[in-house]
Amino acid sequence: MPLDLRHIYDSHAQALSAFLINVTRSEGETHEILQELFLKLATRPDLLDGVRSVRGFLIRLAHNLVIDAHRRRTTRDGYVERVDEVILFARTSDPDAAGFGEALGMALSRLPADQRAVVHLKLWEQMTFSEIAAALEISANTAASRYRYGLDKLQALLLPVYQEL
Amino acid sequence: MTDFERQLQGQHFREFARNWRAEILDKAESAARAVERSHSKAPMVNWLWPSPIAWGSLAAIWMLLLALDGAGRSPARHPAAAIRATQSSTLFALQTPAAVEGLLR
Repeated sequence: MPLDLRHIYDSHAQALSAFLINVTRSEGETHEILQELFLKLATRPDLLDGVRSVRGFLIRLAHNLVIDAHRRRTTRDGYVERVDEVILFARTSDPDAAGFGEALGMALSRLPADQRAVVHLKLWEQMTFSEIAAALEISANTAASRYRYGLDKLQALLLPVYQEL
Repeated sequence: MTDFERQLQGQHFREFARNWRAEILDKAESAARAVERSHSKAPMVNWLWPSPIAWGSLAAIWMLLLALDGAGRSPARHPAAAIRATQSSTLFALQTPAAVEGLLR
């Protein structure tokens, strides 16, 4: 039976693009990987057979595609840490929230990508550490410690802004 | 969950995916149609698709069995070998009474 790609897109693409933009810090790369992911689903609809959590599976697939793209880029161009200037968060009329969002975007960009991925999944996907572990193919303990390190660093970086609010 | 974590969660990501929806789905759906067309053009492949390795292995085993069977039978089917087999059995049949007579003497 063919997959309902439109339904999958409407249910998961926003979450996937938020995860991808946070991990890759590149709008172009996020678009490319999201396209690649949907092409994969279109040509291999059996990938979702027996999957319990579609969101978890899609995040895992997206993460693997990020790693593949990073490997290709590293082989082609040598190691280049790419951190583009991207506006992560939606505009808001509240100047305090807008300022905090901007500072948070900057602070997130200073975390290593593996901590950023865990922080994202924990905070914005509200996944448990075991779900994060399954999605990123790491242990639950590693997920928990990456979250703790990442959150501590964010707290230190955002403390001045946070105290003003 | 601390207040700080709640503060972070309160930030909403921009909706990147909305702008890309038409383009990504158009490409994905045309890829899906191409795959469906290729499956309908090759019904045999489609039929075998659930377990191509199992079907392929089964076919290989049958081929091997047929080859072994053929190799085992081929000398007997060869005319010269058939004649030789007949001649030796005939000689044996002819020689047997003489041998019996020799024994009786």
